[in-house]
Amino acid sequence: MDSAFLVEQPLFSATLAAYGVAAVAYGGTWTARRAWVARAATALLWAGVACNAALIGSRWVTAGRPPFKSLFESLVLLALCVAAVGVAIERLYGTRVFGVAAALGASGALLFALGKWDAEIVQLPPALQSAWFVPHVVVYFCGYAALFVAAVASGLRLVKPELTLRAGTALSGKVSLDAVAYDATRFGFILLTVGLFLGSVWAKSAWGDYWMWDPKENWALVTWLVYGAYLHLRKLKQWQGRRAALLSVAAFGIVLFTYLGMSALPTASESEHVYQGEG
Amino acid sequence: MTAPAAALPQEALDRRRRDLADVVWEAGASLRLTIPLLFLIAAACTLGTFANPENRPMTEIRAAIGHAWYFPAYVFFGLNDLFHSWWFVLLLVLLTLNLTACTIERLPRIFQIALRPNKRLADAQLRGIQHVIRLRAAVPPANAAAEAAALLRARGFTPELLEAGEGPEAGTAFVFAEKGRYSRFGVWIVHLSLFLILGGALAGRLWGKEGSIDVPQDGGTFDFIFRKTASGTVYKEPLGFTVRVDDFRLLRYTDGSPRSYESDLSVLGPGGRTIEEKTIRVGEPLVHGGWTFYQASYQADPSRDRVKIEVTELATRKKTTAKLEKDGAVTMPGGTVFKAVNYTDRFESLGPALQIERTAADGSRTSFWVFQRYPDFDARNRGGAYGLAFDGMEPFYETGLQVARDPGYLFWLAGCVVLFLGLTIAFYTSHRRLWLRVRPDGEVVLAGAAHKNKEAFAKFFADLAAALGKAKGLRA
Repeated sequence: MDSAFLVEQPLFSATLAAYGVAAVAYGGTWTARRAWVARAATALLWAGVACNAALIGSRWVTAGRPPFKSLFESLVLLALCVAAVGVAIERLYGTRVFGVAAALGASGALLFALGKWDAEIVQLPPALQSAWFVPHVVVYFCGYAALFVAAVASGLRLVKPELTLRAGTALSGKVSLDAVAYDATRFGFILLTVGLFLGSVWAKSAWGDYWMWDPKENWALVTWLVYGAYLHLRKLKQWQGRRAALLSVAAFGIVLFTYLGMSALPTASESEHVYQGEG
Repeated sequence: MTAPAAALPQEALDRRRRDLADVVWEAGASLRLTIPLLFLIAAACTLGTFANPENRPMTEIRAAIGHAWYFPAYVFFGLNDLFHSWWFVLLLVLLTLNLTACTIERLPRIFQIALRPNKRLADAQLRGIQHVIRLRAAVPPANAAAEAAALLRARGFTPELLEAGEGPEAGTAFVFAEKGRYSRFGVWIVHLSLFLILGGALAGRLWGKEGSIDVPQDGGTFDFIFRKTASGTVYKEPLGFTVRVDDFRLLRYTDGSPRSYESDLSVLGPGGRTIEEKTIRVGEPLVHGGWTFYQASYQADPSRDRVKIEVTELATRKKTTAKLEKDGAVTMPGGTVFKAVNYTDRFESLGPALQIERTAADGSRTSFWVFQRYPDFDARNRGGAYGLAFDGMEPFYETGLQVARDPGYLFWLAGCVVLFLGLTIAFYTSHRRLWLRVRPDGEVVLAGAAHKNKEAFAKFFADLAAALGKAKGLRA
């Protein structure tokens, strides 16, 4: 890691700081009664999203290409997606209960990115110079962010099954953690489907095959199948509470492996899906 | 067969057989089969990333682990090519059958609900409906119903007003309204899309062909491709026409990494006539005669690298350029021949250099070096009628083409689009139904149900009930 990096890239520092402080403020809303704490938390998360988007925008301009190639770049995008999905959930359900998770998730991705920082901007090889590149990556990362929220809701459900969400800090009315997990999973599942489709069309145009059993494709399919099974299991009575929550958390483990674990697999090095700087 | 069973009368035997068929059918049409299948396929995919990751042919694998105790099992389960093994295909077939059975089992009921609803609210129905409220009508049933219908119309519904006609309900007015009937089919659209996707994959397996070929960049032609089977054998697959590679270019970024590979292809018709031309790049293939030609790779062929030279006739400043392979020569009008005999990328500190052998018209030979970095060096120093400049080395490539035809691809595309639509319908729309019944004695019943997104509907229903309660001809 280059320590000059934090100075050179004030946007990165601002983003990380905003997410970090937002996480603390959201944590505060669990106990603090004062409304301004909650409002500050939300404002900070929004500010983080804005700085994060600006960071990606500036790198896009500097690199002259979509900045989603290296592991560092993908983590910065992931942070944005996690925070943006957090903002969306907050507005949709009128609850700040997931604020801590979203802000911590986003800052975690950025901290990890700091260790993987690549000073040198690499050019895109021919296969990645495609109109499918940006939609494929962005759709997948939004999907991962939604599934992250689902896993957090499920995790909370496991730890505090009786917790429901109260507005302001935590719940208006009776939105259950189970329902949030289910909603987020359905949304994430649609994005996984679209991402898989965009990737296959892209592969077809670049290599002549829409499905090549490449390790990443494989694990993307495993993820899709497991979430597909989860959605079916939810139809069965005995799978609506604790067991569904356990499966949701476990399934997110597969998502993480699909995202970060490819370099651990044999021959994955030939895949366009292994990030520069990974491993 | 056991003795008591044999003693059973024919009728009982038939019933038992039917029971068994029922059990098999029920299991086959059950979600309880779907879920293990999904997990098994996921587990198989996981195993697939480890079983033969390098995609090595069976001959190599046999050499590596042929002696191992588990090798027969490896062969039996086709682990060298797991995704095309009999048991993986079997899992997919079972999933397809399960899907089919589920569809046959449940679709008729859904058609019934969606297309032939009971529009006249009956008391027997009431217990099964989520939301029911009762009001009083102060006006005749037909007028009250018309008022309610107007309220529904204002909320985007197209209500139907129905009369009961003769019978016990004579004089009763009914209103029925619904929205989002298509939502009932969301899940089935998703399942239909899986048939398309699996069908596309099957069509690709049965009728699809793919292979590759490496072609020299200077006009190499081919009318076949090399196909490779899982066992490692390679055979020629004819295309039915000829394709010529007119040129190949490898473009680089300033940092030297590849920016683009491109090949100029010509499809040749009878008599060698060009019938189609296209420059293909990664992601921009050529489609002809059902085949698609993809720019997949390239190979350097250093034995055919060429040097570029420029010969200037010093008296007239007339320039001639030439690309020469090793030991290639250019002959000038006066009979002088320049032959490229030797190349080095570092001539001491002077950089890339080329050794030229000059054969004069009288047969006398001399040899000298020219330098890429100093294009004027030869003209200034050597003397003679010509000055030579070395323009650099041009590497020779064979372009690597991937060639495929896949009749299943359109099914895959259609399947994916339908899958997306189906998921969106299944997750984000709901079938909402409203019934209103006004009896001649002034009893009004409003009932409503949504098959999904029930919280939003509960709110909508409460608002509607409140609005009805305030209507002129009705009382809460």
